[in-house]
Amino acid sequence: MATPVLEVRDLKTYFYTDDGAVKAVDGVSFEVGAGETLGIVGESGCGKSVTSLSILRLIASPPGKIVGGEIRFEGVNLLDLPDAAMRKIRGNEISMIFQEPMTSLNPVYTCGDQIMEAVILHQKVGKKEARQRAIEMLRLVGIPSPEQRVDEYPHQLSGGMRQRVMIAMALSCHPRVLIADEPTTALDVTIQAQILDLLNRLQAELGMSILLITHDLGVVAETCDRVAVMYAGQIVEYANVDEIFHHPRMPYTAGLLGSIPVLGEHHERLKVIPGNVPNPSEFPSGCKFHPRCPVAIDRCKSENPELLEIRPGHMARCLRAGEVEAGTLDLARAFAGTGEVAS
Amino acid sequence: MGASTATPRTPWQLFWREFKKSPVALMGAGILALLYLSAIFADFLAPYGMSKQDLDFSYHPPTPVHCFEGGRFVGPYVRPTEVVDVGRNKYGVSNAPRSPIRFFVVGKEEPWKVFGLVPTTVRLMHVDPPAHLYLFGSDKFGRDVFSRLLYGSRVSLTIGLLGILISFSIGMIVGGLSGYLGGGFDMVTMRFTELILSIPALYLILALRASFPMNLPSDRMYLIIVLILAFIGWATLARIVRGMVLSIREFEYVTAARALGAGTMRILVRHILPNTASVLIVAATIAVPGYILGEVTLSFLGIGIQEPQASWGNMLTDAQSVRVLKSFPWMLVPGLFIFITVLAYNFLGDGLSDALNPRKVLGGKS
Repeated sequence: MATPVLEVRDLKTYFYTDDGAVKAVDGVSFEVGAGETLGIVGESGCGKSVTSLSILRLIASPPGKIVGGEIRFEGVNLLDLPDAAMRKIRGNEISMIFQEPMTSLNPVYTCGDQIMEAVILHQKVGKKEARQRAIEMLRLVGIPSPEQRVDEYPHQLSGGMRQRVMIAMALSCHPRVLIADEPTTALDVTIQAQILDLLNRLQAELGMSILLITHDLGVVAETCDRVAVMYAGQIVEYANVDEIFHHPRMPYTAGLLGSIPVLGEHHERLKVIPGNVPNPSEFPSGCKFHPRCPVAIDRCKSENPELLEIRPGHMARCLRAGEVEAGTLDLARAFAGTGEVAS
Repeated sequence: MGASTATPRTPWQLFWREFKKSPVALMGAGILALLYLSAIFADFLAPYGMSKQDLDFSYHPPTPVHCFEGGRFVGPYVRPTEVVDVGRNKYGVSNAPRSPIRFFVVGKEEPWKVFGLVPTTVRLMHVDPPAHLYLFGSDKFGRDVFSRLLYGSRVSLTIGLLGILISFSIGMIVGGLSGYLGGGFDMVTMRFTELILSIPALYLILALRASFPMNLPSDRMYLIIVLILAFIGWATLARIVRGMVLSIREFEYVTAARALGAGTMRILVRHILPNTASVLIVAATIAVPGYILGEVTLSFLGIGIQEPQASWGNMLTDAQSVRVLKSFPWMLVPGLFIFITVLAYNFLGDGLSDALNPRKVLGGKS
């Protein structure tokens, strides 16, 4: 693997509420190499967005607080930086795009104003030059007649266009890392594909790394090199994308994969993983997935497994991962069983 | 429309398109424009100087303006009058020849300066003595109510604007910081606004007024009244701003701005406060009458703008007595103008709030 540009070690982000500390992110580690795309996958509430916001230190505090770990960007721990230095990183070295293109642009400014903002904040350029940059960026993200669009307001653009403007904003200073928090979730499928293509193309052109947060395994398969599967604030499986899709070693991952509808196959209902992501303030003891796991054994209730390397480059957090690896336990079949019971 | 139009409408065009749909709001805006214009050009429009008095003609009723004599058009003129009953301020038409109203007259009344720069004596209307041009009657000292109304509007109409400007600024800063920063600052400032809001405004105004010397020159008095009114008014605006900031700061574009590396003040000033503008403009427009009435109240009670400087408030002071009201009802004319002004501001505010309402469907009904 290439040398990591961004390295997260044992990140812990807690929210202090009246009910006590909520461990939204609890010991997450991963790295993103130069030019690489890392996917973070998980259901709603698993802590993937909190992880991405933590990297840019955008967690609202209080109630949130990064209580431990390191976030190393090109060797520098971002958690040690003073605020002013952190602002120089944001938008300039590490950028972020958000889920909702409808609300992530400020309605009172034109698209051009908003793209220019990052340029003016980080680079010593005049207004004219910044405007030129904004037009260039709009052209780069594939917006037709950018000279005209640059003066339009967000409400005059469609959702897909807005997401392109958002990407143009985020990339206007050519950051090393782009954090994309569910960039396509709010868009319809054809626009989704266009935006993902755009991200792939820009990544190749600009040579940046992407941290892609999503719950959509289809998006992961299309764009990511490696994948971290998150569950209840922890990474439960971490491997390259082929390994995840073809040899899942953690029952949760297998369940996620099993719930993707297969084209051409007829089902009465979509297969689901029974139950919900547990509330972060009352995680179960032992393995946090055991109440929903079809292959849970007694030990799972008391023992929280470590994230262990099952085979080279493939980590999984499961007591029975060894059995799956050895071929004595078939996760897909186990989920097929519960899927029908649940329906 | 929208994406397909060749030239996108600017927010101002959109605003104007909505605003001109409301005749009432246009009327309010028109009336206010007239009032403020006549305040600016009061020196020119007023037939007499602000404090020109004629003690022999106190409480003179409004002079009728005639145009015809014996069925023949002779242009506007007034008839000279003379005192009939000094004790009861009764006047009758005298035998002196009619006195035509002359326009753009130079050199008859006290000089003034165009925009405070070019000295001139030109006035719109003039009648030669012994006749008087009392369009709205005269007051106790024989001063022309119409002229004083114009001069007084300078005080009364601008005090509202100046007051709202100051409290607007304070309210924006305090409310913005309070909502965005939250925590201790929010706690302290909001308790303070509650303290101000919980005291009945009139008592607070009187108490604050009492902390300054009683007799002050008019210009100082003017400033003090503005400050007092702004001090009371900012609290409401601060709470409105705070409430809006609390909701706007949760929008993704604020997080996006932070993710781009913008600092706290930049986010507050550039990204949050502009989004409160539509509500604030309406709130401010509706609040202006409160300031105007505040000045009127203080001056009416004799602790605001002092004679001989005219203000709509102190012109009403005389109308406190029932005897004056009964015999000389034209003394209430300033009250009528206060009423019109307040109403116009409210019409304008309503129209603005409709035109600026973001939830209104474009081109349709709300």
